[in-house]
Amino acid sequence: MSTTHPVATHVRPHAAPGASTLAVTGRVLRQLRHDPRTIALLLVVPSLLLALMDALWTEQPQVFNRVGLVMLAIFPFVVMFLVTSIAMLRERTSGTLERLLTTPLPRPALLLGYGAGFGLAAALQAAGTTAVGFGLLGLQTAGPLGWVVLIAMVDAVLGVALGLLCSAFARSEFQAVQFMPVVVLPQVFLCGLLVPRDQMAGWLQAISDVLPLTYAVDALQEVGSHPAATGRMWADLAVVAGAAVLALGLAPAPLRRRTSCALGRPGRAAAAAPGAVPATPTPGTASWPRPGRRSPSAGTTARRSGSSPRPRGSTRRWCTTTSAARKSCSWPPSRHRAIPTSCCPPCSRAARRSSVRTCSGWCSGSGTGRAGPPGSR
Amino acid sequence: MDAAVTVNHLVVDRGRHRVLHDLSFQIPPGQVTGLLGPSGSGKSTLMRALVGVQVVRSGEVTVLGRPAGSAALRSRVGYVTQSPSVYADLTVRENARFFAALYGVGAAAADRAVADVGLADAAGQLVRDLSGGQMGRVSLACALLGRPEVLVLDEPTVGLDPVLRVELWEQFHALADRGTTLLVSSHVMDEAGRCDRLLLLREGRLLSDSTPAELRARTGTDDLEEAFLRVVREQQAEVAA
Ligand SMILES: Nc1ncnc2c1ncn2[C@@H]1O[C@H](COP(=O)(O)OP(=O)(O)O)[C@@H](O)[C@H]1O
Ligand SMILES: [Mg+2]
Repeated sequence: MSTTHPVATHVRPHAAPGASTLAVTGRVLRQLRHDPRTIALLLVVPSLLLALMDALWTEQPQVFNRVGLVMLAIFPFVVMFLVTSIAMLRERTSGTLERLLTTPLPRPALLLGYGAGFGLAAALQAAGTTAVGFGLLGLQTAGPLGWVVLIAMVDAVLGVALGLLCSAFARSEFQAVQFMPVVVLPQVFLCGLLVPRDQMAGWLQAISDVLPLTYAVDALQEVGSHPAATGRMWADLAVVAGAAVLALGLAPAPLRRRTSCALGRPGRAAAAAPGAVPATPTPGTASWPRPGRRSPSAGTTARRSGSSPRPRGSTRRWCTTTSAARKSCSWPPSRHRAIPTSCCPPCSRAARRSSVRTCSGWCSGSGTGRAGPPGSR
Repeated sequence: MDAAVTVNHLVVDRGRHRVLHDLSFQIPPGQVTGLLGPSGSGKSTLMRALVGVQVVRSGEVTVLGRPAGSAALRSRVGYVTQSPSVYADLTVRENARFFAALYGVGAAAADRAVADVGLADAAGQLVRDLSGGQMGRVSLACALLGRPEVLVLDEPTVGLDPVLRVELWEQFHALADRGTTLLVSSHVMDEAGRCDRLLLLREGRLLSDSTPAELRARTGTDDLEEAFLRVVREQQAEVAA
């Protein structure tokens, strides 16, 4: 339709290296642009929290100065971690990730594109928070502001990179959000904000030493107390950047191209797995080939029933459905008024569990784009 | 001409279940092959194996002479998933242009693909504001703009009104006439007659691989739905015997 050339002779164009990374970055930013509220939250919330802290410590400005500075490292890290892991997870659950993996887009380009897009958002956020902190709230450092912004930005990219890495291990939004207390909070506790690092127990210090956020905080504290950039600040910054690169480098590995079960496919809970009972024609009924019957439960039961075909006439149930659902569930088509509940996983499950006979109108294979029940795997 | 797709003794497990049992078949190039079977029979799984995103237990899948999923195939094989996999928070045009950039074709090709699926008027709309059928067509447009030689479409016509369905089938045949190999799945038998070839899948086993005419002749009925029934009964009789 878009070409008059025979496909076989068509010279296949290729996206230039780097172009696909840019395409992903552009797309991520465009998605953000269509979501002004998220942009507003990204830009405003850290500044508001900083103002809240300022109010909290009006009597002790030196405490606010210490904590506020550390917060400039913590906010972008936490926010970017969350935003990125959720964005990546959405990509997975919406099926677009699987689709992208069938296109020529290399996986590192996908991740780099994400990193660059959210990194840019993070830079804006860091600049905004720094401006508010120093311009309005009276934060002070011995060193120049530029370093503060730079450190906050590198730190935000670290959050992006860790978010990308962790999201590969999350199967649902709930899990992704749980990674925050697991991955992020220990770093916040041990970075020297709550208790100065030299007052921690030895083993806590040892843990703190291997957590990258520690180095971002240390770098900011260096800027806070020295008028010029110190070697230690650069070393800290290098560690943070190195950790971000490492996380980005590791992230493609768990992002498998081939999966045994597409993750997050709606309505594909294990309980909906088939018993695959060879349907035995039931005397007296139109012997339509029944769809692969759903087993009472996944796993062993299904296996057992898979090897012992039994007549199903007595246990057959029908559910009444909306006409839309009937259309998409039309196997067998048109013959029957009602649909076998086995055609529609939620219905079959509901019907088994109770006397519920009414289909919610959700059917596997429905083209309405409606999502099924939250994946329960 | 060589087959566009060759599947040899393909076995796929999902979770602890065997979903595809030892499938072997070939798909000829430049034709529309229909993959028909009830919901849950393994159509989507088979398609995932063809585009190389499904872990397979054993067997071989060769597409255009290469193992399915190899890097060289990714710009030559298009895949439209069953549920529309496009970005709901982008406009139709932005979606198309994004995929166009991945395939290395220009924005003009993206806009043409959007027009080809009849969405020119909705190009500036956010995908989440579209109807289910329209979303499906956006998804289709994003696969077409790479000008794939093999196009794998998972239930592309579900939920579409009859007029659109006919139009889409005409498009499929137009593509096939230009040399594209199409594999189109469906769980409604009334689409079977529109295919050049039919693969009937049931419970992960291939019941039949023939043209619609051959199927009609073999089963002695003009009604493909009835023909499918008879094939199932035949097979059951064999199993029982
Ligand atoms: N993500 C999954 N995890 C486990 N089993 C699955 C998954 N997706 C599908 N299945 C099982 O594989 C079988 C084939 O599914 P599928 O290929 O989607 O069938 P179809 O596309 O013909 O409806 C089904 O019985 C289903 O229960
Ligand atoms: Mg399917």
